[in-house]
Amino acid sequence: MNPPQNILVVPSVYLSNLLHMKTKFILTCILLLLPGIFLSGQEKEQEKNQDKKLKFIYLESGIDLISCEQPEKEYIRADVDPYYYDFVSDHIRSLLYNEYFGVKFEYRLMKNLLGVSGGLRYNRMVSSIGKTAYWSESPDFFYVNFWNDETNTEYAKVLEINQKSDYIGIPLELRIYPYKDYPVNVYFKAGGSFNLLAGSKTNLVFKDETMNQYERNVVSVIEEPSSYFASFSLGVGLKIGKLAKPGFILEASIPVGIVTPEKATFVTPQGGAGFQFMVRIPLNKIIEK
Amino acid sequence: MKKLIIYFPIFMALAIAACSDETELKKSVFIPDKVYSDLPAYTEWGYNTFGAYYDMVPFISNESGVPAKIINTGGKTSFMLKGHMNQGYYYYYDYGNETTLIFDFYSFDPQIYTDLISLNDITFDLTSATCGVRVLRDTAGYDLDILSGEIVFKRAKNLLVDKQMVEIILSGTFEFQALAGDEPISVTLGRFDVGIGKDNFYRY
Repeated sequence: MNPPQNILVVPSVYLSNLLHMKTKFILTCILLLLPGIFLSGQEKEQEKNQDKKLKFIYLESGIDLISCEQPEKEYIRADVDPYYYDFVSDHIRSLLYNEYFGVKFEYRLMKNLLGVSGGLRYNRMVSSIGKTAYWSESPDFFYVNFWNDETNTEYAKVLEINQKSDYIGIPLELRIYPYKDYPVNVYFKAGGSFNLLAGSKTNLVFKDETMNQYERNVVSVIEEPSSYFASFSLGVGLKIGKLAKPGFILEASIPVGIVTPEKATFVTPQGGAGFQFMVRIPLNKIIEK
Repeated sequence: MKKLIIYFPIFMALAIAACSDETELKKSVFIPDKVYSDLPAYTEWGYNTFGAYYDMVPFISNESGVPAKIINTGGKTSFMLKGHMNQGYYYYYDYGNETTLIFDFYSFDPQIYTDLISLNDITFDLTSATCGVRVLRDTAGYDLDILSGEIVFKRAKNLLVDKQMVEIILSGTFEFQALAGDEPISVTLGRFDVGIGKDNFYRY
């Protein structure tokens, strides 16, 4: 009696099927493990980087836009609208912005979770007083009282007063990097700066150009800029570029506060917002090379 | 018609520009007195304000309207202060309380407004025969019989804008006691700081 043929056939088919499944399974496992192995390798590299005490140089440039108190001054004769947010009116207003550029050095601490930076910054602070006269037929100038004696009181019609002041400052910033290093990353910062006056210039735009010859006389009644100012800010940053390679950074700061020592300054800052663009250059690689 | 459409906005712009000439300087600037907060502080800036206590009731300039005029006619020069009684500075719409105080000077004869500069540091004795005081109230006017008092023009100054003469700033004080009919009244702590120019100087 011959044994049934299918007894021998079935194990061979079964075996081949089993082998095929095994290959599939191994391949699937490899495919599943590969990214893990790759990521773990990257993480190891990141961790290696995280463990390093990294150092960076930043080239920075930015602007702070600051709102100011209503300019109530003895030498200015114009409406100072009590309804500050009423744009459909005519009154004088003060504006302030601070442009800057500089260089910073950052040192990373606590496995790159914290970055402490300091540097040198050049600031150009521009403050101005002008008149808003939207939807209004009222004149676009205001009066500046620049001379008084026993017999005469003299005013000049002025469209705008601008004061440009240059400050040299030292920024000090603390950055918190809560996330691991990815090519695009978000972080938080708290910063401040201390700035000393280097020079300033005040100029006026007269309604009548023939008054330009008296500009010095009129400027003499306008307050000098502060001899120094300090600024404070909180912000969030977006980093583009790998940790060990040069990258770009965009930062937005809200709020930005400015503190001036003298009470009688040309404009009185309140608070505002700032934007900063930076180029980051890692120093460690250069050192390692 | 086309021309009219083109010229109308230009005409309007010119008209507005002409009207707005120095209007900001003509506006009143009311800075309250630190002690008598119903009254404007004494200033010498041409803030176009005045104030006094008329029988203990505040009599002050309006925010709108011309607070002061000088009228030279009929051999006398009148210094007119027009405001309201017994109201805060910004409640000027009740014309029922409109009051005008007029000082008449018979010995002073300015030809144009710039002649007012001669009032600098001049005191007029209101009891003198060359002076008089009148009150216009609720459309009725009456002369006051001055018992005592004076008006002092502490400062008369030229106000120049862009080196052009615009007006004379008159700043000073006044105080008097008088008979209004049979009733004695007191005007105390009077002060004024007003600009007199082409618009509010009259001679006829």
